[in-house]
Amino acid sequence: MTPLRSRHRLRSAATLVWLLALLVVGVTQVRGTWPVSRSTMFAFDPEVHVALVLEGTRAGGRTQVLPAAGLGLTPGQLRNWLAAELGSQVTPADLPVLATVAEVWNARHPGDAVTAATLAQVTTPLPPADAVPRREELLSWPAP
Amino acid sequence: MAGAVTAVAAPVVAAAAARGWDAWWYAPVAPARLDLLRRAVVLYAAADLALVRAPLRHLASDARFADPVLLLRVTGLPRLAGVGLVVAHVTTVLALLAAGRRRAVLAIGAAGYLWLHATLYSYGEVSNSRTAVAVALVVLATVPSRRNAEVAGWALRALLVLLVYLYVFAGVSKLLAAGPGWWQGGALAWGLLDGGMPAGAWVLQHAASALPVLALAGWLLELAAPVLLVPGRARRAWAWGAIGFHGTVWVLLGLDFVGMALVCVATVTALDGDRR
Repeated sequence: MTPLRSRHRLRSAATLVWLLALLVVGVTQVRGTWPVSRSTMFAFDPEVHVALVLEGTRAGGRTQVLPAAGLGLTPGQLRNWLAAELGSQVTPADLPVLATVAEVWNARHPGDAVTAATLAQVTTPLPPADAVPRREELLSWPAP
Repeated sequence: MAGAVTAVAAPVVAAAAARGWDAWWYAPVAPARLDLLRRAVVLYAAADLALVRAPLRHLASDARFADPVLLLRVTGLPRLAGVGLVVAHVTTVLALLAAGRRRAVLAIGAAGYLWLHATLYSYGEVSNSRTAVAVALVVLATVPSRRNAEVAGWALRALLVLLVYLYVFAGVSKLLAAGPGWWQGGALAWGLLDGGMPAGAWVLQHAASALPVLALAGWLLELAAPVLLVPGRARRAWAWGAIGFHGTVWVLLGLDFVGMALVCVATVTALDGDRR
């Protein structure tokens, strides 16, 4: 058996610290931070699926969904950003969030600018085989 | 009396623990075995960056959508944007492709990969699959010599431990969050609906009764991941099973964990290469 050499000692100490960090994050489910972050996938038991939908209205009255790609984001990034900005309940105090979305969209699409933005929630019971999704408008910018 | 026993036993136990630690972590592996892992990981990382992750989509992303991750805040590195993002992206892809066995070049590629992903993750969506690839690149770049068989063994086992952690705690977190009946709940249906994939929509429409079975199968696969720590056929079977599992997840849920499965298969193949 090769004796533990000084270089291995340092590597082993770093390994042990890393293992302990992973264990703490894994067991406590603390969020951690990349690259020592928790590993959770579908760790919930939902009864409904809730999707937030951003819609933009152009000057001519046409209203369409504002896709995440149009804001320079992936759907997951947009969802996480909205969750972080809005909290558990959407209130009129969240109007600046929609204002930001409209501002970013218009900067990226000057020829397709929106004059109003809406945040809606689409709720689908699970399993969704025969369920009818329910749309509910949560917030509208500019404020009426 | 108890104190005396402890004083005698403690060093013996500590020495045995150290020997056991070395025996597992540093059991020699021919450094040439790392070549397979290196080629697979580097090629995947370069192709993934260039074609899938596409960090350049954030070339003009608004800074208000970004919250720099701790890695950037601690190191003081900026979130890549504009010309810096283009340079980092191109340099990283080229360094990965040109690395071969040149650790210094691979280190540049690994550092670039970490920085690019720290930037991407600052926009709020972390990919554990790329975590496995990032750690693999760092590990491969730091193995000091092709002649150092013990550190080569450490490198491969570090990757295995990370993979076991990612899979096992993905399973454990389900148990903690929803209890042993998780597989009968709505999580998989939620994922299929959220993924928006045509195959997932078909399953929801025509085969919803199969969801509990699919959920249970995936969950058991996750919880069985410690088999990766034991040399032999079982871990090779698990690793190849992970490829099928993640391929199915990609088709049904639109979630890309191919990188993680690739690192798993390449690592196990490198470790078990002499066992046939």
